[in-house]
Amino acid sequence: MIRLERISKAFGQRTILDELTIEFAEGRVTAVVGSSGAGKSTLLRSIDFLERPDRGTVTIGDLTVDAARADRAQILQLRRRTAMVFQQFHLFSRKTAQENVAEGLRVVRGLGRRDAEREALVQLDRVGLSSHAGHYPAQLSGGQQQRVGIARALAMRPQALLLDEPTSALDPELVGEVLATVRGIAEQGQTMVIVSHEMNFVRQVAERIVFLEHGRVVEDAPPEEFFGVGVQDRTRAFLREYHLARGTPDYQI
Amino acid sequence: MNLIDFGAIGDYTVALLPYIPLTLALSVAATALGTVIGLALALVKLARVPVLSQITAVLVSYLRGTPILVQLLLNVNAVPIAILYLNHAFGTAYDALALSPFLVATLTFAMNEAAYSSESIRAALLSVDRREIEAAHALGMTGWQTLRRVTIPSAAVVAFPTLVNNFIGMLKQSSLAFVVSVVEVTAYAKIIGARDYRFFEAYLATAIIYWALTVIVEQIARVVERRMQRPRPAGRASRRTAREVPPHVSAAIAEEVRFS
Repeated sequence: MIRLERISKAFGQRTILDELTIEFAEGRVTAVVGSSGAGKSTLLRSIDFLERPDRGTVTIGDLTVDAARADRAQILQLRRRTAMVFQQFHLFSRKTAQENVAEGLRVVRGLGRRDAEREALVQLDRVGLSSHAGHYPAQLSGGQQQRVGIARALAMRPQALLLDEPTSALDPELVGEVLATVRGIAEQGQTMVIVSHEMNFVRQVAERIVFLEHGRVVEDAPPEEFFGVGVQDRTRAFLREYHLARGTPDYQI
Repeated sequence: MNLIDFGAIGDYTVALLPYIPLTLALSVAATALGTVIGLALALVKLARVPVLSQITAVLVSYLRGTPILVQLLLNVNAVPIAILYLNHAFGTAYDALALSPFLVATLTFAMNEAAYSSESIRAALLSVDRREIEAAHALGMTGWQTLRRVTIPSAAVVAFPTLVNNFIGMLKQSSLAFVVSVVEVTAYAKIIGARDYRFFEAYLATAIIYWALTVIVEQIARVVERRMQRPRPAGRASRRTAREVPPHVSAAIAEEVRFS
């Protein structure tokens, strides 16, 4: 279980998160949606303190960290209980796919070289890339790079997998393979928080959708409700904008 | 008229060969130590460590602002004084004159190397892709682990050509060590030149040796550099868009312009 309580974050004069309280249940997939600048990524990055909140507490399992008093050891603990998948993959460019996955296993989880390599292959296999273990990131397509990113995150056996717009940097024809990978992992009961612009994907994979605006939760509903008629005006306006911008033909409200 | 003794050039070259290991040892030790200290200086500056960063700034300014020859002469005289002073202060009885000239030369050259390389090392550290560092943090690596596993290895590839240049500079600069009576290649050339009054031939042989050494080092460096670049095969289609040109490329170019 992940719980953020009264999390606030500002960049200069701009308030991004405003006393946000939210909980993510174990074994569930939650999607966070909203327009650019709504605070989605900041919310996600607050969970492992890649972006340190100004105020509030983050709880993962039995560990509660207060942003005002967090020390280095606590932040490391948060990061070791979670794993992040980045929009731009953030792979280690001078390491092969297998070395990318093995790195955290060796350095953070303390596995020996052989064990780490073996485990890395297992994780690469989960994302269908064990045949590309020796490839460097530059030799992989964007979709493959992102799958390596997912394998690297999964290898840490995180209590929660955090995905920050995992498909936004991909060419349209490469989105499908990443979505299929994420869906497969979701079915294995991995707790996930996904920030995404991909409504189609969110609809298929998420059990709960949170709509964020100006750092506050506007809507919090399962997908069938979220994309139904019973939602608030602002949510509907957001979805209308979204579909207008993408010219989705079959969308009507 | 026998102005130039061509046979002697060959003889002298052979006679100087046994002194190459010492020249190499001096250069390798000074460059290696200097690079490590340079890395430390760069980290102190990057981390803006209070007090320490000001002290190192003054030190670097001094090292860059005085001739290396003067530093050698100064240090070789300063060390005995320092030892005598320590003996006086702590009642110890170290021999003030037993200090090896090789050590003085190595440390002097190393400090110089550190002063000059710290800026290029700093630039190389800054050129490392922020996203890789963030990925390491997200995995739960400590600051030191990130530095050791991600930042420094990537920066090393960027800094390598500059460090090789520095090493070549050091090979040549090591010839100054004769002033503190280290008998390396140049010092021995002086000795045999004086013995036969064939200074020209002796120094020509010396020049040939240094030239050969630097050419060999350059060739080795080229091979190593090519190996280091292997992870980014040239010409192979990658999905990187123009926006994502690795930031270290531009930094490396800026570096090249500044330090060549």
